Amino acid sequence: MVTLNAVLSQLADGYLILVIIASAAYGLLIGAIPGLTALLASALLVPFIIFMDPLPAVAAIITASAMAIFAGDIPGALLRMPGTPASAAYTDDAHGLVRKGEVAKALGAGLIASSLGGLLSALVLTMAAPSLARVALAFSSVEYFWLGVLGLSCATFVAGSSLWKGLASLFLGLSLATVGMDPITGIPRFTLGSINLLSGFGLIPVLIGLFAVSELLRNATAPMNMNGAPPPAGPIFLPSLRTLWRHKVGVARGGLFGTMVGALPGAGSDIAAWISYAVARRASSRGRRQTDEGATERIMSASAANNASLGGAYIPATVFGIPGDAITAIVISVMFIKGINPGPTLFLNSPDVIYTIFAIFFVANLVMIPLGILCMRGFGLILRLPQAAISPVVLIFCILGAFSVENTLFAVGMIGIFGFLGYVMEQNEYPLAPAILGLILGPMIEETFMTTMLKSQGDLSIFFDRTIGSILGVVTVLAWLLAIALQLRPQRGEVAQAPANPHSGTV
Amino acid sequence: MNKLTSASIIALALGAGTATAQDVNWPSQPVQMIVIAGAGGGSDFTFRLLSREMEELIDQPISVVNQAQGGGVVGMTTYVNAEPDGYTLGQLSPFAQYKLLGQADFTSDSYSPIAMVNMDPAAVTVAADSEFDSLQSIVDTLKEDPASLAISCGGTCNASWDIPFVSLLLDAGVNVGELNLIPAKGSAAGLQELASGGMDIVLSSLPETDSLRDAGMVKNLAVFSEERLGRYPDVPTVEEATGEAVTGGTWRAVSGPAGMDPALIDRIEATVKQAYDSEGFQTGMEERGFGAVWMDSDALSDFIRQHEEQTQRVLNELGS
Amino acid sequence: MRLHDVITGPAIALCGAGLWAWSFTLPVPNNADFGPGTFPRLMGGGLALAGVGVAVSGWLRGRGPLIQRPDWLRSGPQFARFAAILGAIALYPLISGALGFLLTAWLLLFVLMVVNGIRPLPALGAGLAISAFVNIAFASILHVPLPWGPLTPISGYLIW
Repeated sequence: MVTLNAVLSQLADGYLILVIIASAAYGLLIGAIPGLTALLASALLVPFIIFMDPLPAVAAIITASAMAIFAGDIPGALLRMPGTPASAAYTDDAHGLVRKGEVAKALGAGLIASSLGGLLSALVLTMAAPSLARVALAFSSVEYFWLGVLGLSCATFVAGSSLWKGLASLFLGLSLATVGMDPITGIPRFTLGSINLLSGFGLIPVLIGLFAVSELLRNATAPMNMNGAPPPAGPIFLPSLRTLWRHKVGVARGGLFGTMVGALPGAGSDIAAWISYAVARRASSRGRRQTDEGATERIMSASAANNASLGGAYIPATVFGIPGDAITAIVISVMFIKGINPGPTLFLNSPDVIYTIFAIFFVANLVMIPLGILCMRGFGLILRLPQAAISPVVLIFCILGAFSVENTLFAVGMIGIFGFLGYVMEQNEYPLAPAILGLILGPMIEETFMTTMLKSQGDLSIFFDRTIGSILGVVTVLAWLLAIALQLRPQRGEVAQAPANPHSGTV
Repeated sequence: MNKLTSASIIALALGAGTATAQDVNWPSQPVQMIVIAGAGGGSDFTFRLLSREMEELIDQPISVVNQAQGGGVVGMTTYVNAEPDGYTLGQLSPFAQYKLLGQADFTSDSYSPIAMVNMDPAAVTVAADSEFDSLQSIVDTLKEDPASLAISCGGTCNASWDIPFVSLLLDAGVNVGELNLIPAKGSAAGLQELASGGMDIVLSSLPETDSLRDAGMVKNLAVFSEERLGRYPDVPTVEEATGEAVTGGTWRAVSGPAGMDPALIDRIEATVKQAYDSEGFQTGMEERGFGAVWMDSDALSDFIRQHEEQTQRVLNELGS
Repeated sequence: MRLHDVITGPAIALCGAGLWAWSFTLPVPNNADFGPGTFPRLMGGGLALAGVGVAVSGWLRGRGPLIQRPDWLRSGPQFARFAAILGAIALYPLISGALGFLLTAWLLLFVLMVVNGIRPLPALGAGLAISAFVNIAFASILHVPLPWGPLTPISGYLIW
């Protein structure tokens, strides 16, 4: 058994603390810049940590990625440019609050929810990692398929005023996802001979284009603001605690959801945030309303899920060495290299190491609060600069971010194309978020469908054969029916639509 | 403008020019090493380890660039199309399947192979409670009914892990066109399917099964190498298990674009050899469970031709 | 650039139909019923359906102009700002190899700021400062392989 003392003594290393704080600052910075994502933050860290001692190496990535995932919310709220695909789910809600002047509220809520979601997942990790890992391993392609289709139904919740346009956007994303190598045979599809399209349209360049660049284009056509925006005024921490108490159920729910979804290998923070957002939208009476309270509930729920999924991803990672998402894949590799071989032997032979790693989760999510507030204030200060100066800098970062994903210039060209597409879409009231959802879930759904078909040799009944699979299947079908029925119902005050596009109708 | 300034400007301009010619003062500027996989993965680790050792021998930084798009096609294209001046090198790994699948046009003539540094043989793994106890029993079962087992390729199919396996089955007389080969998003995903009962067999490297094997959820049946691996003395080779001497798996080598000067290749090869032999590289690879295997540029040239032939044979039989 | 739903709807439906048709050119593997073309076919069908839905609901709603003039055609400065963004993105891949990141970013920042209404001299200085900062942070410190352009021969000293 491992004692608290043993863990604390490992943590009390000055070098380790320094590494944690440095990576936290680094993660916040990278995450807060539109165009740069949490995955990029982790990938750029690899050359440095690969030759570091094991514990600081793992601590660095854990901290940096947790900070970056939270920090992706900041540009989403303040600039309407989500820093990560997961933030895209609630960008409109958050930005809506900011436009009403509730900056501190929106950001503070997101911060405290993220921190709590992360803490919750750290708790689950510490107490139940091995047992939960076994459950996670029971998921085969059938279960993943249903999870993906269930995730698709979330698109209807961000469809905006028109279900048809939302569906069009969703199918656009799904269609874009088919470009590239076929997941089964590897035969190139719709690539027009270009090797750059062999992996399809990358999620990050499309995100940067559809959200960030299109927003820049929109701003370009409005009168250019030579003054800055007012910074988030007033206290952030204490009011956010009060907000937390009001929305404690939503946050707890988001945290648990996020942990569970994150624990499924291959289902990352993107899917976790979306599903949590959708549940908050439908299942909670508060979340359903178009009010500030409703928006806050949804933001907090999804933010909590976002960060919780990072912790959840470590469940299969540490117990079986199976990565929960792309970031944990990097972490597992680093752990192997450092001789911390994930697996039950790790829990048996060196429990102090693994529980120290879990403890770092706690530390990282606690450190998030003060550093996050600093980051938000800093961001607010930067926004006092004239927009005319900020927009070009944001564009440079978008270019840099797109390039750095895979070190290809092709991605840079893509943000231009998708930027224009996003601009046209929004002008015509086609929501952007379903397209991103389609791009995220399309490959997963196709792969799982195809591999399941291959395994069953064409027998469709396999989708309802397995216990978990059939339960998920029934839930999914019901969710879709419910979602469509609710959208087709005549609009009443409480029935939710996405907040009206602040830029639509600009003539 | 005084003479010193104009002289330095001219020197700078000349420097920018001569670096593109065949440089016998290699290296006089930073070298790019293109890795065709993402950061933090096995290939990335191998090449970063190697580059770090190489950097200490030459005086210039080696910039490791990850270009994993297209399953490695984009990265390979980048260095294959670069100037053969030794300043853009890259990872050479199994490539023949790209052309056969219509993804790219690489042949063994597209490269100037320099040296192999790593080879990880494929292995056959089944669930711990599987009815199969040996590779031979699997071969026999597949001979009778090729489509009866769900086989995970441990990644994309028509690649490193399944090609030696199919090669073995071809030799044993199995009708491989009917095999049920299923791709996965990496070996970890394939192993997860194994553990959840969704698959019968997983093809991957041995180190990738460490965690699940230690947890008692999977067992290794055979490895596609010439001799048993030091780290896994209990796993029989394919030859021991079935009598057919088939080897294969993934391998990683340093290469440049075609047309590099032989003297330059020798120089780079010597540097790589020194880095390979260094303690840092050897212990690093061993700790990670990767097989450090050396092949110089001539041996590598022959090897990649063999790889092309083996891949061609298998893919034709599979009907792609 | 606002078009009425009766235009965008059919446009989308056409894309969907096009995708559906294009998917038939993909090969079908010999040992399975479903192949590379299955999903594109489904998605194309879905897209076409959604497009029809948009068109029909737009037609039912009736009134409204068919095409509205795009914002960026309304005035010179607006067009300049709009075009400058797209132009900068298009220009970057073309010139960054030769000029290197530092000079390219400096140039693009300068042009974008001036087009946005900032005075040339501050734009020049700010552009240089920001480009240098980003170059150092990402290329020198974080080792992102940004092009060095004419600085390539001495780039060995600039990577830390």
